[in-house]
Amino acid sequence: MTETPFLSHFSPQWTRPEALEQILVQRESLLSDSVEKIRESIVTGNKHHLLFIGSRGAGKTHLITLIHHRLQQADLLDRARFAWLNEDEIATSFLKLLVLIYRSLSERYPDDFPASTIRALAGLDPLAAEDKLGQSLLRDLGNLTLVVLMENLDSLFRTLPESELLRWRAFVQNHPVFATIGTAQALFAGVSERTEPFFGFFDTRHLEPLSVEDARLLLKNIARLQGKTELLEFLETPTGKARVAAIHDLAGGNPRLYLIFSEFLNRTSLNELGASLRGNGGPPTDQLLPGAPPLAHAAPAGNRPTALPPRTPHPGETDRRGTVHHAGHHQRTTPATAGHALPAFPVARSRGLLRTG
Amino acid sequence: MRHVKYHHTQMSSNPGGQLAPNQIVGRDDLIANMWSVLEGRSIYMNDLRRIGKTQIMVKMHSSPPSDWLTAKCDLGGIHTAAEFATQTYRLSATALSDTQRVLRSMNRLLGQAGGLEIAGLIKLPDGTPAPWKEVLRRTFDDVEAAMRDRGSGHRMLFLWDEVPFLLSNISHRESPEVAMQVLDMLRALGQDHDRIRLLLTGSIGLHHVLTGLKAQGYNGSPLNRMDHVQPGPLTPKHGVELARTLLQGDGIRCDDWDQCATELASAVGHVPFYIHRLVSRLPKADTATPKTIQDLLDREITADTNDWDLQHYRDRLRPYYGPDEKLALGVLDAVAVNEPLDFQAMVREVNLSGAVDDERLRALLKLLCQDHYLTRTSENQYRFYLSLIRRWWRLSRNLS
Repeated sequence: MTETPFLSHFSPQWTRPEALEQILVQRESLLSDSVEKIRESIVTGNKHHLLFIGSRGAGKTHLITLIHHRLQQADLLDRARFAWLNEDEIATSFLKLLVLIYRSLSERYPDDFPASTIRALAGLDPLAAEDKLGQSLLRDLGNLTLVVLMENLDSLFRTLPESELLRWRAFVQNHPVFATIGTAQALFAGVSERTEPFFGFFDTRHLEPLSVEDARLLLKNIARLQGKTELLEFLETPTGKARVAAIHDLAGGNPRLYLIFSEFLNRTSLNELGASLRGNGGPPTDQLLPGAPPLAHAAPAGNRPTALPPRTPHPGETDRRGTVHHAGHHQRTTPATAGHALPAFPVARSRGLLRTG
Repeated sequence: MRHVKYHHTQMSSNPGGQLAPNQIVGRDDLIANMWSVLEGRSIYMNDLRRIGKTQIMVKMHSSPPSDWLTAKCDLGGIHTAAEFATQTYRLSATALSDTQRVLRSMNRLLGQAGGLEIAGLIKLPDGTPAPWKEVLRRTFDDVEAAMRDRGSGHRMLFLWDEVPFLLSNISHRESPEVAMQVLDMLRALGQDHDRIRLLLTGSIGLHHVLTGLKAQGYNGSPLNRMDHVQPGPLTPKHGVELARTLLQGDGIRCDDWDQCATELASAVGHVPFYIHRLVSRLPKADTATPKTIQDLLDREITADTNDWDLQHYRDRLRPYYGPDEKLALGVLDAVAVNEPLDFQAMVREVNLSGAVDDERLRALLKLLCQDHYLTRTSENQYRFYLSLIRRWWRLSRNLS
């Protein structure tokens, strides 16, 4: 019996990249363009610093997971090293940021970036430690390019004082061997205001919400991936399209919502859900349609179904032996956790429409 | 060592990133002129943020004339005079590493028998930090001697970026007095070492830092002996060339490449960073036209949340000009609508009531030019320094 591919709702980096590729909609051009820019950073002296901006659930991690995945090609692996920082770890100084980067490299490339380098910093004053670690990083990197993936860059900028931001920026400017792939939930002053050290430093790209058609394609891709042929066919019908449009009014084009819906959708539930949202016995539309809080904001980080497992190895990372690491299915969202994520969706919860298909 | 060979026949947009020297275009004449100036004196380069000062340094550092040695460093992360001196020593040692010449004077200071520890700071054999003035002076002496050994005409250039941040950092972390001492030391070292030149620049104008230091009692003029260079935007020819190259490199569809490139470069004032940025934001799915380019730019710069931050030029008028803020607004409004304007026309536009003294207006115009709002043409007329700022000014203030 073929196992249904796992699609993590909150941590796409734990989903197999092949599955993420199969369900990707709307952003193929952005993805391929971004991959090309980082590829150029790896093989030429041009270094790009990309920053993807989108609200929670907009697909930022999905996107950078695929950028990372597509860069894992033989012709690039010998020319670059990848440091994917754990989004839950916060740096309060440039030294701490260097430690996070080096530790990430050490876990992935232990022969090139020995863990003893960080242990050897013990007892040094911060300035000396920063200097020593910076020199070690550059030495161990050799003439390769370091691609740093940093999620929640806006949080990092909030915790780093300006003096530390200046140290970081100077280090990057003095050693043009870095390319950056960052994400943020919104444009933030640290990159958008002229008086800030990093003004204009990042090539920012806003993730557009899904259109109705994008959403329908996403649901189709997921249905195809999960072998839900009946739902797939229904999504091609005028009624199916109308039902997706009704959901779109509520979901506001947020990809995560469709991913969550998809787990509990079948032909019947989609039809009933869409009909409810169109006013056939559903709640007043002013509770559900534009103007109501987008559902994407209804799932605070603390409500995530499970915490991320320990840092090693990073999801989706390919170690030097070519092994790709992924999480098991323990992170699958349950109807209960999805219910927590959808407090503003009374009709679906009260009518029991969110059920496994 | 792994060597990578990559044939990239096209340039693609890279707003804010670090460009390879061969992709920094349109600056060759300026750079040639700067090398010529450096034969005689050091340079202070000042201009608006994102005009391309750092890229100019990168290009100069990558291909200096044969009798020049260069060392480049962003000093924005340095917070003490001792760190700065250490960094200068390191830069010099690295730059001279391919020669037989060693930094003899510094080695005498540090002692041959060991005790030298470099980890952000140079320390003497007894473990105490080396005096920063002594490190700077001996390093300059050693570099001067090394250049003399190389033969007549050989010189070394320190390309120092973010010098205003360095001074501001030192002023805050140590004291304004130490920042003043660094400035004086650099001036003195520049006078005493004829084979060493400095090229200083930064994101913010050094004059802002100097103003703060003068308020603390500083009375030096560290920039007096330096040539002042304002790179400005690219020439229209180079701006259009860059725009066309990037449009093609990014795979943007255009019905007429020349029209689109000309419109795009002109709309952002031929500033390379803005050319890169605007190209990067053109939708690839659509065919670009001069109108769609203009519309996109207008949406970008007037959006409630945007990363062009042209509002900065409005907001800083009050702190910069104080009681003359309203007069400055009047001048900028008049130039935005009617540029170019000569002085008499300006008087007619902004001084209808006759309440403003001509000399006060002249002084204000001078400041507006210094702060890169306006520029004075060879015909003695005033216009906006950047057409992008003028464009935003007219949109944001609803001027026709």
